[in-house]
Order: sequence, then structure tokens, then C-alpha cells
Amino acid sequence: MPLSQSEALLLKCLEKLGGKAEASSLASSLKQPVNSIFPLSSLLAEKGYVKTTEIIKEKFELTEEGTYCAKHGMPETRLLRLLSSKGGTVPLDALKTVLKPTEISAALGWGRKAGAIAIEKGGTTPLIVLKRTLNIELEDVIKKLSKDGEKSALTPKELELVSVLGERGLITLKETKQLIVEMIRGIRPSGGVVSNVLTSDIIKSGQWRKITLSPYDVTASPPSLKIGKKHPYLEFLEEVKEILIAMGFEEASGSYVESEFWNFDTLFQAQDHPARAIHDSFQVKGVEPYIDAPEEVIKGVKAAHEYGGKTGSKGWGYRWDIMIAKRPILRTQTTAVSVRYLSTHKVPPVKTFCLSKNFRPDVIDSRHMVEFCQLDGIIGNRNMNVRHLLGALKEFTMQLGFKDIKFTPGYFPFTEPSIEAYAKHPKLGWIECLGSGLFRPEVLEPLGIKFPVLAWAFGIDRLAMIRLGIDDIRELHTSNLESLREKGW
Amino acid sequence: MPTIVLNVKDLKKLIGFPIEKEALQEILSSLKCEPETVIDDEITIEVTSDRPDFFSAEGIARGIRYYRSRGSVYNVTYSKLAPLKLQVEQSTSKVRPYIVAAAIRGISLDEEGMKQIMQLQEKLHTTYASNRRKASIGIYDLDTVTPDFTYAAPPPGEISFVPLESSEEMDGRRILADTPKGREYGWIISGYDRFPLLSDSKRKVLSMPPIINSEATRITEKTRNLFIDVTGTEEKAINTCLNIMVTSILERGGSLQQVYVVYKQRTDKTPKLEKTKKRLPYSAVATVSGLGLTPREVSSLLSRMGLQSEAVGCDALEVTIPSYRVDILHEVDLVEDIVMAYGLNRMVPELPQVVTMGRPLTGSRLRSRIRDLMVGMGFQEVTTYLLSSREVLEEKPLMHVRPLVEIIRPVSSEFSVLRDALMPKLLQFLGSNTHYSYPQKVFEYGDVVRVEKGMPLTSPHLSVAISNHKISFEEIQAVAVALFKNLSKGVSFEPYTAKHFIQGRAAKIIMDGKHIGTIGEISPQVLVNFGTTCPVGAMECNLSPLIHLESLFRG
Repeated sequence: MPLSQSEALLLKCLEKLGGKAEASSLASSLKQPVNSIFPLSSLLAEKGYVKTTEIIKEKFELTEEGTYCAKHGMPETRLLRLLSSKGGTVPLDALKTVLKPTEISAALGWGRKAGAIAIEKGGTTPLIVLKRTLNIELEDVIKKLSKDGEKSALTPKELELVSVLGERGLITLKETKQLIVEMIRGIRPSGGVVSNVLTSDIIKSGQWRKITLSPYDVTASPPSLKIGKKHPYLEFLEEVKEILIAMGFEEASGSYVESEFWNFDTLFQAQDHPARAIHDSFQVKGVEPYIDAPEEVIKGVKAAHEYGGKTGSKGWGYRWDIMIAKRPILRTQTTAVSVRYLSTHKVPPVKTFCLSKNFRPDVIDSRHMVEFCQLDGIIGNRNMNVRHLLGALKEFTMQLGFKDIKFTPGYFPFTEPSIEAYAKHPKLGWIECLGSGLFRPEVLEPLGIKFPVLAWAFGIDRLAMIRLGIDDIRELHTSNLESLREKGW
Repeated sequence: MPTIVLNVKDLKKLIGFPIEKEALQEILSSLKCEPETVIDDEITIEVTSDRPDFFSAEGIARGIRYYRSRGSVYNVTYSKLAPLKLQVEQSTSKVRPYIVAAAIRGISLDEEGMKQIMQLQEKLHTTYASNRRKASIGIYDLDTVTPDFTYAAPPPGEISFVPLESSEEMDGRRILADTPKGREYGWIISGYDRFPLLSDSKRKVLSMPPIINSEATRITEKTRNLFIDVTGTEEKAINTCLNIMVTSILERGGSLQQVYVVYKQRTDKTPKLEKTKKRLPYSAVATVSGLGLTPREVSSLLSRMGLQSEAVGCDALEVTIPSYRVDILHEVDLVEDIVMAYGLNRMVPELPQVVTMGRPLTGSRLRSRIRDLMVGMGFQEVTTYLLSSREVLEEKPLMHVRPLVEIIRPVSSEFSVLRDALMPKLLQFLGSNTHYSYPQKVFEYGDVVRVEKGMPLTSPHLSVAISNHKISFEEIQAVAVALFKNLSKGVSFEPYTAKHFIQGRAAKIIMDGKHIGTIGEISPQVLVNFGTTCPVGAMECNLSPLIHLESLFRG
């Protein structure tokens, strides 16, 4: 049976290692993780190239206490050493210098039992007196184990001592599985020189004319590749931008930190009206309150809010406060970018879009995130009406791959009429996807715009989730490297 | 947007003629009342905040009647009784100066009727009333009190009555402290030394606005006559709330008795339910909607939205707007009604024929080239949130405290400042992927926001990081050199010291004599802070000085 390239490589490596090797040594000479050797070996075993044997190795490992003793000596050794160095007698208190509080009574108990020490009454504290010095065999063993804990390497005498160490909680026994891979000679293809790998040496030397290149199992799975990739969410956003640019839209951008003026007031969202509370916003500190708008725009917006200004509207009928308008917030809608664009592009036609981040306070869960992308587009020209809006929305959603679109009336403070659209996804059916409308006169007049403007906003993250096949909005910004590496889309 | 619950049986009773369930749902959605769920007889709908008259079943039923051309000209039935009187004392001027009121005679409310009125009151409170601050509505059984009424503001210690859902008398301060509503809304008045109080001619307390009514004046299914008041800080808001309450309740029967509200300087007669008139030129209808409608059609579409109209001259209509339609500010609002009545899905979409040049944002080509180069060098692109925390941007990477755009009331500390650097975000990313195979090579191209002289400044940054069991400064440096070389830019390096880099293994990246970024091996303390034990080499550059490279003929 033919071999895959990885199988052939493993076989070759095994041959180099003398036809028999542990999985761990194969792994290190192939520079591969051990767990990749196991499946390869069993495939080779199935095909009859190798024999695998699993052996269990027992190994002693030192506990934390054991490691301490191996390094500093057993408590009893330390006790005897102290006694010898102090001339055979020390007060009980002095033991603290070499023994941990938990070791003192155990060491004294052993010493008395072995006849090595005696405890005598002293002045204020008992005295410890050395009777005879003993060789501490336990210490030799623990030192040996700290270097190599292999059970099979121990003598029967040592094994006895090891059980004492075990009882004292200084060592534990660990079992490790080892896989031995052994080449089954004889089954190897014979006749002529067979080579697994074609090398440049073989070509240069002309040797290739004489040898047979063994066939591989080309149906087997190759090792997985870690490649560099662009982020799928950003690539999706690029795709959407390309569609809009192809439709003749100019891309616009704006600051994430925006004054309430541009985010709300120019969009005719009254400062103290439920319309403004439709979504709360993140107020920020660290930046100065500031409105970068010409004086006449500020005046026009104030008039539109208070009594309608020159628009023929009643306005909201309240006192507009510039201090509120100055407050810096994180942009809650990319529509802020659209009106800013309009304020500097007063000659029709105007076609622009902004695909960028917005921020709104929300409970964070699989459907809501405080930071999200929105796609805003506007088309401004003379003689445009609701039917043109419907036409633009239809064309745009068809370009995005939807099959049909239907409309319902909606409410946005800055558009009138306001229209929401549902687009038909080939598999998922009707999806509520965008809000739109014609900008109100109270929005356009203060900016000096004298032609109708169609506007819409598309919840692009929803679409990205459908496109990428994910059901948690937070996965668009996944912090999982493996899913980015492995996932196709 | 407010969400309200309707009972289909009750709604059908209010509509007054049979209607199938499917047709009902369709009409609701044509009227901006989007059905969300239907469970047995309960429909939950999302309404829009511009139409408070749709915050309860009564107004919606009226809307449906008109939509089905079964509504009559809107008129309010007035009671024959003389208006009631309500005296406003000067003492209220600081804490809550305005009040309006109305009485409804001869009404009978069943359980669902009571529910709808409570729902309407609550939805008005959360929207137009700014959670009772601007306006608060009280509804009482008129037969439990003795007109006329007095609206005053005595010191809280002199107030004493049994609040709703309680069994003992309390004074003003205790009501704020010991009742659930007191704790919820107390902040509106707690800072004043006098609390608003509405009482009758026998000094019986009706309510302590905007907190709570008295238990004794509670309405029940046996109530036949209602008294309603709205107090507040803004006259426009209290009038809107009262109008919506009254016009909605009257849909269930009864007649309206007005109330003279007597201030020191003036007397108002409330509620003020006068209709207003608005001129609507036919040309405006055609220009905005794109529909070629005859004057008759315009008029008939308007009447299906409950708006009566009359031709004035040959080029315009005069539209009569009932008091409950608070959303009509401009003629475009009338055009929207026409479009809604016509049916959006009946309109023929027309693709705008607007010739313009499509153009990506300046910087897009550079961004695209750099991302391609990074991917070509085997790096995985990541995209992290613009929002981050001081912990990630300052503490963990041992970077100094600096001015950042900071959210005043964040939802979570994890999302509380705008990032001004990408490198800490990449380190955070690497720290959460330590269980995956190495080497890990990642980059991010994205915006950061710095604060300069109190102004936010957005610029595009690139950060690149390599993490492996062993890395060297050269490894990351080679990436920087290859990147800029392929943008036909030479860069040089100058030694650099910062706490997040290992001393002696970090450099400034210099391009055209400008310091555009930093590069180096990350210090072990920082690695540990981010939870990784694998060394990291990283760089970060500000790319705004390179934007000119996008030009087709760059020098």
C-alpha cells in the first residue's frame, strides 16, 4: 500500500534510528510534536510497515517537600549535622535554624528511636544531646531519585527505602506511556533501489535513472499549514465598499469622537425629547467641548429646533442649549459623517457613504455590542423623491446578493418620510436590515442644502454575521487565533 | 422604541367592526406599529416615539378605523357640567410649577381598559415625561373627592396621607424613604424644602406629584368618573401628556369636563384640545412622494390617516390636525401619512440616475498594500475593538499614564477608553492564545485616537508581533525593513528605551528623518502581565506620514 509523504518520512527516520525507536525520539528527530507521531505510527502499522508496542514506564517524582529535602538534606541529617557542629549539645530553640517548624517533632522522634540523640532538661529550655552518628540512607536515595526517578533502575534495598519516602509524602509514583515503533523488516518493498524522497543530489548525480521512487498514498491528509490571512470580517467590509464604489459612491470618514451637535442636533434630534433618548450615548472626558461648525450653521440648527427656522416647520418648541450641543461623545451613528459631508458639499449631485464604527451603551450579549459597524449612504440631487429612495435601496440590496426587498414605514427624527426595509435572503428569508428616508427640511436648511437628500443606514454587522456563518456578534472581533487560522469563509 | 402589549379582543371591541387576525397585523405594520410576538390573544408591538397616540389600544383602534375608511370626523364629546376649578398656589413655583387637569364623566373601565390606561400612563412617563421629571400623570376616582382642588407645595413635614399600596399615613420625607415609588422618583423633589401636593376642598390628598397617589382615590372597575392631572416643569410636555391621556380614554366612552387652572396671574382652561390647520400644496406631495395623485386621491389618503382636509384654491389643501397628532411639525409629515396610506410596497421604485465618480477613502490603497505585504510575510491579520481599558493600555504594558478619550459612564471597564496604540492590544491577543501552536505571527492595521491639546486626533497605525518559544530582535526588525523596502522607503533605527521593551533591545523607527514608530523585544514583566510565557518581538508605526505614497506618481 502506498505511503503518504509524512508516513514515508517517519519510516525513513525510523530506519536512521536503527529500526526501533520511542515515539518521543522520533518526534524530536522529525521536529514534530509527539502527538503527531501516534496517528502516523498506527497508520503505518495498519499498512504493515511497523509494529507498535505500548509500554508503561513507572517513574518516581519528588513532591515539593521532597525537592526541599533533596536539596537541603533530610530533617534528621540536618539535626545531626547541627549537633556535630555545636559540639554535641544544643538547646531546643536552636533547631529552628535548620528545621522548619513542621519538621522538628518528626526529627526528634526519629532521633530518639534510633538512639542517636537524647533530650535532657536544661536551664530554661530542654537540651538535645548527640549519642551517636548514623548514616542516613534515605538521603542517598532521595538524592538519586531527584536525578533519575526511573523505577526499573532501583535495587531491591533502595525500593524498600523508597516506600518509606512515599509514606513520608516526599515522592509520588507517576506512570507514563511510551510507544515503541519497530520496523518490520521483510515487508519493505524489495528489488532495485527504492527511494522515498527525490532530492536534488539524486537528480544531479543521475542516480534517478537507476532508482524507483516509491508511490505515496496521495489520498492521505497532509500536515496542516499555518498561513497568513487577512481578517474575514474586514475582507467582508472591503467587499461591501467595493460594491458601493462601483455604484458611484465616494467614501467618507469622520471622527469617532464627535460633538453632540453633529451627532444629534444637526440631525434634528431635540435635546430634551424622547427622540434623543432612542439610543443613549457615551459621553466622554479628556477632550474639550467644541463645535467645529460655521456660526450660521449653529444659528440655523438652533432656529430649526426652537421654532423651525426658515423651514416652515413648527420646530420642537423648546430652548436650545449650545452647552449640550458642545458635549463630546463617541459617535452613535455614521449619519453624523453624512451630514458633515453635506455641509461641505452643497452642489448636487452628491453620493457618499461611510462604513465605520459607532458606539452605544447596551447590554453586551450575542446580539449587542457597544462598538459596532454601520453603513450609511446618501444620494442628493434635484428632483429626487421617495420612489428614488426605494429604487436606490432595491438596487443596493440586490447588489449585496439579496433576492427581494419590501418596505414598511418607520420613524427616525431626521428623515421624513422614514422607511424601514426587509431584504430577502435566499436561505434565511426576510431580514430587517435598514432604516432610511429623505432628510427633513429641518436637517437640510441649516446646512444650506437646497436639494432633496436620500439617506439610509444599514446594520452591516448583522449581514457580516450571516456571511461569515457566525451567531455571536462578538466573534466578528474574535480573540481566538486558532479560529482565524482554521476557518474558511 | 416603546413596546406595548395589546389584547386582541379588547382591540377588536374598540375598533367596532370585525377584522381578521392577518389583516390586523398587516394594518398594524402599515401604521408603524410593528408586531413582534403574538401569543393567544396578546400582541406585543413596537411603536415609534413620534406617535404617543399609539401607546395604547384606544389610539391604535382609532387609527385602524380610519385606515379602513370607517372612521368619522374626530370630535370630543363634552359634558354639560360646568368646568371644575383647580387653584395653583405660588408655593409650587420652585419645585414643580405647572399643572393641567381634566375630568371624564360616565365611563366604565373593565380589567383590560384599566391595564391599557396604566400602560399608556407608564409609556408617556418613560418617553415624553423624561421619567416623570418633566411631567407626571395622576388618575383618580373623582367620586372619592370633593372639588374644587388645590395644587400647593407645603413643607414635607406637614404632608400626611396613606400612599398607594400602603396602610398607614406617612409624611413627605417618609414616603420618599419607605415606598418603592418614593425611592425610584424621590430624587426629582428631594432637594427642595417643599413638596408638591394636590388636594381637594376638604384637604383630602389626591397625590404627591410626581411620586405617588393616595390609596383613598385609587380607581377600580367600579369607578364611573375620573379626574386626571399632569404636573411638571414644562408646559408643552404636560399638555401633550394630558391630551393623549384624555383623547385615548374617551375612546372607551364618557364625556369630557374641563378644568379651570387658576394661577395668580392667569387662568387656563384644560385640556386644550383645539384642532390645528396646516396648508399642504399638491406640489409638495408630488415632489416628496413622487406619486402623481389627483387632489381627490390626496384628500382620501389623508382621511384614511384620520386627517380631514379641504381644498383651498386649486393648488393646495388645508388639513385639519387633531390635538393627539403631536408628530406633525411640517408638511413633509403629512406627505409621510399619504405615502403610508398609499402603501409603500405599491409604489414603483425608480433607480436614481445620478452620475458620480466612486472613490475610496484616501489611505485605502496604502492600507491594502500594507495588509498584502504583511500577509505575504505569513502574518495573520487580527482586528480588535477600538474601545479598551487603561489596564490594557497602561498598566499591563507598563506604559505611562497619558490623556485618553475616556467614557464617563462605561458599560464595562473593559470598554472604557479609546485605544491610542495597537501594540498592547496585540499583546492582549497573544496572551489569550497561549494554548495554540507557535510561532504566532499577527498584525493589526487600524485607527487609534490620541488626545493632543484637548482635541482627539485619529491616525492609522500598524502593529506587528511575533511570538515563539525563542525570538530575536532581528526577526521583528527584518519584518520592518522588508515592509518599508517594499513601499520603497528606507528606514533607520535609533536606540530607544521604554519600560515595555527589554533594555538595549528596542529602537525608534526613523523614516525621512521622522520618528514614525518603535520596535523591540517585549520585556518579560510585560509578557507575564499579559499572561504569556513566550517571548514577543513587536513593532508599532503611525502610517499617516506615508499616506502620500498612494498617489499614482509619487516622488
